[in-house]
Amino acid sequence: MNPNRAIGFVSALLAALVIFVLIPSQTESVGFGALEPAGFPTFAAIIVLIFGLVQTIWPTGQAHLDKHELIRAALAIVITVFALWLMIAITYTVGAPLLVALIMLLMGERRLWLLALTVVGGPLLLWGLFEVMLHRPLP
Amino acid sequence: MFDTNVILAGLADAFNLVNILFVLAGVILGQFVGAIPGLATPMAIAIAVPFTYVLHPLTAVAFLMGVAKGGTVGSAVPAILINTPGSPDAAATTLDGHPLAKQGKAKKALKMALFSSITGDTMSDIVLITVAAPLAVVALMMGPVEIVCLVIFAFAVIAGLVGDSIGKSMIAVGFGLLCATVGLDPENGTPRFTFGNFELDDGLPLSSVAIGVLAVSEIFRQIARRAGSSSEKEVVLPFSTAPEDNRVTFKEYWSCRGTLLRAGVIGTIVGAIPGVASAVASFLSYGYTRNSAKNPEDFGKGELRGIAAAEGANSAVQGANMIPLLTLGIPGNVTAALIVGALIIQGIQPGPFLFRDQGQLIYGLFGAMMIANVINLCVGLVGLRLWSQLVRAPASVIFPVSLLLCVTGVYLTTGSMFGVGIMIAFAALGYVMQTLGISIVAFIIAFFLGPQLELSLAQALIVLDGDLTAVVNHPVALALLALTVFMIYWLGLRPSRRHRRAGANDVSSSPNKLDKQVAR
Repeated sequence: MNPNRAIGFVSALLAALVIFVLIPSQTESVGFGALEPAGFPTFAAIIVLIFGLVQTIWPTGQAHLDKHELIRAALAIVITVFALWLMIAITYTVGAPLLVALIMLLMGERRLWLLALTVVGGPLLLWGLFEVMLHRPLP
Repeated sequence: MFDTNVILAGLADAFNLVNILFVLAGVILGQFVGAIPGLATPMAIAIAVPFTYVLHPLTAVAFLMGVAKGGTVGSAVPAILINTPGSPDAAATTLDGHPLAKQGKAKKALKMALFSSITGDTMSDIVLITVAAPLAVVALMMGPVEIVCLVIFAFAVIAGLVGDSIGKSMIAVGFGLLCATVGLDPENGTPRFTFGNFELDDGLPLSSVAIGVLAVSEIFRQIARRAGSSSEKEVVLPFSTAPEDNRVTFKEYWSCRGTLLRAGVIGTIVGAIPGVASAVASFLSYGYTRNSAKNPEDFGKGELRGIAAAEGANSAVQGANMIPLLTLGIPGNVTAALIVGALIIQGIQPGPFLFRDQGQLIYGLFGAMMIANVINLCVGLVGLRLWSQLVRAPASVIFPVSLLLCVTGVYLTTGSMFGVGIMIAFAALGYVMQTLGISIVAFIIAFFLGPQLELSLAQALIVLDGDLTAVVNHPVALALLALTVFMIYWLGLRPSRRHRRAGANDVSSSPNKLDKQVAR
């Protein structure tokens, strides 16, 4: 299927899901006011539905799918989520240097002096500025 | 609205030392970021927004304007030196800037870009200062019905002009509006799409969504593109020692006055239309200048007027972009949308009421913008040599540190890792949207305007007594709705345009390159 047609189809499907499942379950009905709580979300979802169908019937535009780039981006996201978990579970001063180090390694950086300087210097600068100087607590 | 005391008080605020220092810091940051290939100015603004919440509103907005203005100057540096524009806005600058640099006249090219940028920016700021208040007076005459129709019309224009498909851009608008409905319903106070999580009662945090979609998604893209190849491009350019090759004389600058005036006009007109990117202004201005020149064959070989046309126009977009924002509350581009976000979080609602309720702030902002132009020139003259070294900055340092800055900034703004989690989720969404050619600009503008639109819609329904057909009694609203339908047809559904867009899928040509730049 043409990727642009697929975008329209999936969007229309999601909009239908929002209209028929999410809105009834995630909004409350009130007997007063000019606009029901479900009114505006329905309006927004109808826009998606209509233009999703338009896109399905008359697909336009470009979509650049590079499988390898997608995998690398997914890997960067996973690394970030892992580092965030470390920040919560242990502390910022552990998670932040690890985040910088892993992303630098993913980007192919192998110069040890640059790795050491950035991994230590970047997080230390931010931690020193906010935690020590401005007394704004970091995780 | 035109109280002299308010205007003078605002201008006096702008000349406060703290504000001047923050404008200076913003300009330096903007030029710094602009000079680094791959780091676009909106990304810098998105990262800077969370750090401005503790500032006074004028200081915060003046700082962000400084970043935006500095970014337009900085982005010309990599365009001229390594033929890689710091942002899409400077793409046209490469056409004559880089050839001039290859002749050993890089400093001349950089200085011409700087002077043109400041000229264009100042021209559009003057237009903004002159027309914004009268336009706001007209805007104040509109009721909620007209405002709803105006916002819908703006969405149609934005969706038609950004991205490569009006269908996909309107899908982005719909999703942006849908995301804006998360949290407590503004009219009744009932929760919507919170899934029982009280942290969502206030809605999706503006900073998390904006930074996620605009900055972090682009950081992930750059990381993914550069993964496994840390080798940096070596810049080897000849440098002439002749003084005339390293400066721009007044005679040379003055010979470009017609080009600069035209660039300023084109940039201002393009900037005042919501959704049209600066790259369009610079290519339009460059194309017109080349076609109307007596020596078009010299363009592309290091012609000073080519640099003046491109840089003058893309910088003139900056001030003009604020016209729809300050008069109608509609952000014209991502930078303006981020400034809306900063204003909203400061408790200020952009739109025509700004002139009435926050006149001092607005005139303070105008003063700060003019100060920023002077500082931009001074910092540019002093810093160009330093920024020239930045094009060699390793991407493997810039992007990981930028990512950490985003994480830290959002944590400090939202006060919890929940906000950071939302940022990562929207970064992933932004990445997917960009990959699929769905406009993140349309999405983010809709997200910012969603609450205002919902409020106006509720008020409009009260005015219309719940009867939507009563809109026929509002001729301005009716005209705007008719224009919306026409725009959707003209910009997206017209067969010739659809074929042109479909054709762009197959041909890898320079217009296609421009489309991609406009899409960003």
